[in-house]
Amino acid sequence: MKVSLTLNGQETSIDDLSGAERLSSVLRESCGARDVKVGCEAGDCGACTVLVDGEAMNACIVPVAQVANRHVETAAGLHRNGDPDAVRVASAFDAGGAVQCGICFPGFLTSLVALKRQQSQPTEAEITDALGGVLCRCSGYRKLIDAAVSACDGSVPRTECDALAGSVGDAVARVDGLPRITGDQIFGDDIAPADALRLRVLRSPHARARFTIGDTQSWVSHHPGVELVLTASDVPGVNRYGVLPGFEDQPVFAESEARFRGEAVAAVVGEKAVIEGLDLNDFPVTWEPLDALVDMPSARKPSADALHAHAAENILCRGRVEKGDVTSALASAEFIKRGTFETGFVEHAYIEPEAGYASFDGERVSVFGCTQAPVMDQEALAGILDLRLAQLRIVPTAVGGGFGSKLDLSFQPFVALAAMRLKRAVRMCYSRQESMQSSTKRHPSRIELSIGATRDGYLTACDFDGEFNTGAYASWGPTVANRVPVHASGPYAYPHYRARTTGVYTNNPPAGAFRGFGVPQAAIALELLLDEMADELGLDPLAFRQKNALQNNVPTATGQCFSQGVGISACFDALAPHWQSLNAEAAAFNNESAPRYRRGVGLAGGWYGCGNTSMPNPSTIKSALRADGGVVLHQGAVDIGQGSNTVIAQIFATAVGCSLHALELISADTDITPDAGKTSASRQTFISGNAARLSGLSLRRELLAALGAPDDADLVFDPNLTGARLGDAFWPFDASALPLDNAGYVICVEESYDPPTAPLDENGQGEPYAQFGYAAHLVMLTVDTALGTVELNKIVAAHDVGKAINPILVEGQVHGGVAQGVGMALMEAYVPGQSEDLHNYLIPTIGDVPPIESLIVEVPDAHGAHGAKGLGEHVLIPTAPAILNGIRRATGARLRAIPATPDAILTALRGDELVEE
Amino acid sequence: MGYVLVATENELQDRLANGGCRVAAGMTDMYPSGQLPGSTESVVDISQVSSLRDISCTDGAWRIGTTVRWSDVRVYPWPAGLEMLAEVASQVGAVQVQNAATVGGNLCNASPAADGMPVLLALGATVELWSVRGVREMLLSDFITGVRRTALEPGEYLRAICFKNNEDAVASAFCKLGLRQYLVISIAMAAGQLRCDSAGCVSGISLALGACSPVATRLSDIEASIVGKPVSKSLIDEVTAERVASVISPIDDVRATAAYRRDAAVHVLRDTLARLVEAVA
Ligand SMILES: Cc1cc2nc3c(=O)[nH]c(=O)nc-3n(C[C@H](O)[C@H](O)[C@H](O)COP(=O)(O)OP(=O)(O)OC[C@H]3O[C@@H](n4cnc5c(N)ncnc54)[C@H](O)[C@@H]3O)c2cc1C
Ligand code: FES
Ligand code: FES
Repeated sequence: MKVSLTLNGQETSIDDLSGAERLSSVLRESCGARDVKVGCEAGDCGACTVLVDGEAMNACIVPVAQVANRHVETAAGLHRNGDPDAVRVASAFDAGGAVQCGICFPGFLTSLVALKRQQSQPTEAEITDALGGVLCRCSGYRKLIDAAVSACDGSVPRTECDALAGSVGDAVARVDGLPRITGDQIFGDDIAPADALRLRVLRSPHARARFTIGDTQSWVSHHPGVELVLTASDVPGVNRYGVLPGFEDQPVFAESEARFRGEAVAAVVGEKAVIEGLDLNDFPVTWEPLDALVDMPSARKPSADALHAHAAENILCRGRVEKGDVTSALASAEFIKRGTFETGFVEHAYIEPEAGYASFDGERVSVFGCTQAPVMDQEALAGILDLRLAQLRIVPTAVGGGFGSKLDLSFQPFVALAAMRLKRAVRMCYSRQESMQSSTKRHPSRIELSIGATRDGYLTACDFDGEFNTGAYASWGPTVANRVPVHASGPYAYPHYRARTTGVYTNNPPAGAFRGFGVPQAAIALELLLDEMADELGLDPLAFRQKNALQNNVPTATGQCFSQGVGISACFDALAPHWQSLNAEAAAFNNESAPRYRRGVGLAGGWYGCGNTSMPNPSTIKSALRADGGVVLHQGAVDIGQGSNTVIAQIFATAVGCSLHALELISADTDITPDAGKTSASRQTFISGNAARLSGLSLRRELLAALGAPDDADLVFDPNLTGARLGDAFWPFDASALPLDNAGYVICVEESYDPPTAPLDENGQGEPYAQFGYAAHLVMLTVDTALGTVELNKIVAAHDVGKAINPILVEGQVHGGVAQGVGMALMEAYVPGQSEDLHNYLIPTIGDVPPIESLIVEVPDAHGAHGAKGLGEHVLIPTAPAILNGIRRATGARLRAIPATPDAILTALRGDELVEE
Repeated sequence: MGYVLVATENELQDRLANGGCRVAAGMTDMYPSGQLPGSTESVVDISQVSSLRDISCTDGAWRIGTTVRWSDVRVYPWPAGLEMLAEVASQVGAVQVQNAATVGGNLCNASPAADGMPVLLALGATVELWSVRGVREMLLSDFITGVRRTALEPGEYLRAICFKNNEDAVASAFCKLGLRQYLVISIAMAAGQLRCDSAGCVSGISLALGACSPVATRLSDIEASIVGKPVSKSLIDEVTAERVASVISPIDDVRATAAYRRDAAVHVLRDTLARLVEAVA
């Protein structure tokens, strides 16, 4: 059938439809409206929201026939057409720092326009109701609520932020904010050429199974339009990859045994309609399900089968940090607290599923799509495809949320291999289910912790033993095993310390990097025990932490002594007045309210080392001057929504001495940007920021030299370089005097930065990081002791960032991390086979994140650019333990596992579970 | 197999009379559960049939057409005793879902967690079904026969949901317990309507619970124990754990354990009753 509709004011008709096609798919693929983003195809995320006759609808679950002869409006269309509500709202979102990755924002924009049209002056409650159907995993929602309120009451503080030059310290709007809000931003599934073939992966329905693949040729011959089937035997190079040298254990396609539910065993490629319509149930594969090792206890049984021949007892690796004599210190401690803690799989749940495409020109493979680590992808693909590095080009698109999981390969080897075989562009987008089944997760953990202290509250010893479930493959498991022992102490000093970790293989999806590499799990154990200890010693929990907080010149667990930059005390100090007032507020509430509702305030601290652990970790940043005087920044660090495109450019612009707005920004592409390392481990502001500063300084030096001006002259831009000035003297810029290179540049520089670290010795002693960042959070909450539900009332988050390069982006990171901490503490539990979609795997909605007050603390670090420290992981670490502590302070319920669902809270309240200590 | 969007009830009835097809409305249950329209069986989309999309009231007899959407219910000016309809409507998923999802679809999908069920059960609703064999009416409590099972026969469709609003109805309330604020399937939910006589005594009450048994249930023992008593907070004591336990049969699922549901059901019911009493006081 043919469907005619008015799309963004234009009459449009589409032929050859059954009518049942998803409206989202027709708009994106037939009408070119790639601003309609797709996160779940199930009505669960709202990213695909469009207006149908003015009403907000999930385009992914509307059959296209329903919109025949109706008006459909999309985010970018509304904005492009100058819809006054859309323009005002988008501008408020942009100026208010509301957006991060932006994959969800077309949903917010359209939903808010729908509300504005019905009601010109909506209240905040009406705004949240109108936006409640859109999930955002990055932003924590608070800034977008504030921006929406300001857009609705007409007060958009736009001019203030536009007047800023974008130097270090300026709260400028993102350099790339607006397209992220309107949906014009190109993400992984938005870039493939129209004629690209589609690829679908066949995955194991069993946690563990032997399988044999039958006659695929005959299957293909019965399925016209299928052009190619790929299995393990088609991998030209090594069918093994990993993110860490020496731990490459994951096959692109399983070879004879699938080790987790969702593991890839084959792929099929063909035209869109054919591939989408295929019923893969008749694919020639026979499964022989085997007993799966579903958790760590079963994998550690002496009788358990080995998942991998190389890993005896299913142990991936171990980590250890030890100083002093923990055993005797605990034996003689005046006071001891012990506890056992468990956490489960947590899913990243970014709204953008893994997506991209590859093409092959006979010589080189190019891969376009979402990734956090283009150069790592390039290296891994070279091994898998048996190509030289130079034969691979990786061009990252915008990333619709990563949080660590898009460091690992996903769609890349499939499309690259298919493109090579077919010499055609091949495209794929993970379904929500396959994204959740097969992408990496946060490591489940089982932690035993003992802490010793003196009666007057000085910590004497800490003994930590943690098992981390790495799933079927190593991924970042070794990093977790190494990072956790360094961080399990928290930002506190102990004379005696021992932390041991074990990574364990099980038949589960691989656990990898997720904001904090195991540190958030360790922080839960530590901060809960510290809090209980404070009570039992009769000490104020904040004062107790302050008493034991690390200071300059006090050795850390690895014996590292920082002579400067230790900022945990400053964070606790910043919280102190809030701790007082919120506790008073909670006490007053408890006096007045029915006993059913109990309010409490919880506290937790945290720290995180920025960059790789004791390993080289350089970033390189290139910059240049065009013949017309324009300054160009080649910036290979991938902005996964956290704002590095803006922050790194601010640092660079400040070093050069020009305005942020004058820069031409060239983003990551392995052909034209040098390696700025992966976007992880809170390293981009710190490490790439430093490289950008060096690159900017070096460009400035070369420019002055080329102009013949002295070192202390100012460069003059308008907005391009016109010359240099010192006092009355002026040296004009004349490009003709300079040689032009192939790229069209007259001057080009490249600078690198690698933070100073030192290897750890056999006891884990040494200097693992050049800097740590510090954080402390307070949560006020109310527990309904009849239902076990928790209402979060307020969160105060203090972060020592050294120097806030862009305060509004710092706050955005804080809000987003806090929201993920809220989810981890209260609702998130990934169970293979049960919560493989966003309907059953619950992440916080706009109604679940309370007001957040963000306190920016600046204890400068000697190594950071302008004193800046990393922030990406710190923001999540203290939230969950602060919430759990708040629940205990409110009700006495001692929790030993997350998530603290109503069910778990009631059980803990009854105390039936906790027989220990 | 195929998909067809019909514009009128006549067209729908012709299709059904010919057999072999399934009715679809807002498709908010069908798409996500993988029943892509047209992929496995022929689908007739009734979402645009205007005669099925009316809310009307004649002489106290209410009729909600099957394709009335939750967003229509949310904004309808319900009189005292029916406010809970707007309340439940505003808690089905979120705005986008409410703009597509229909009341009839919620019932026909027969999920134990369908939020509309306890509310309409509490109103003693009946359903009107059509097939070539004729029109029949039955109690909603007879219509839903089990988890994902209804009394619909092949070729039959749900036309409307009907109920009376008693003149003495003074208040109604819906309480939903879920793990987050929006877009959440209930762990348990309760609905109730309170009727009062001129002396301030309970002339009638209906209470229903959802998500705690294969099909949402009325709490008739508790209702009987309340009728005739003066409206006061002490009515809440009639909601005892034993009385609730005797009519529910909760299960463990991803959202909660059966044991938790057994406890929570009691509190959700008490909260509902407390709100009814408060509304009168
Ligand atoms: C993100 C999301 C959130 C949700 N949240 C909630 C929630 O909070 N609470 C809740 O209760 N539900 C929720 N749902 C489920 C769903 O939206 C509701 O059950 C909705 O009311 C179903 O209506 P529909 O018109 O979309 O049904 P459809 O999907 O069109 O149909 C559902 C079933 O009913 C049958 N059917 C529909 N109409 C008729 C008819 N007239 N005659 C015969 N058979 C018919 C169909 O064949 C199908 O089997 C949610 C769904 C989504 C996607
Ligand atoms: S893609 Fe439509 S709701 Fe998620
Ligand atoms: S900004 Fe909302 S999901 Fe990334």
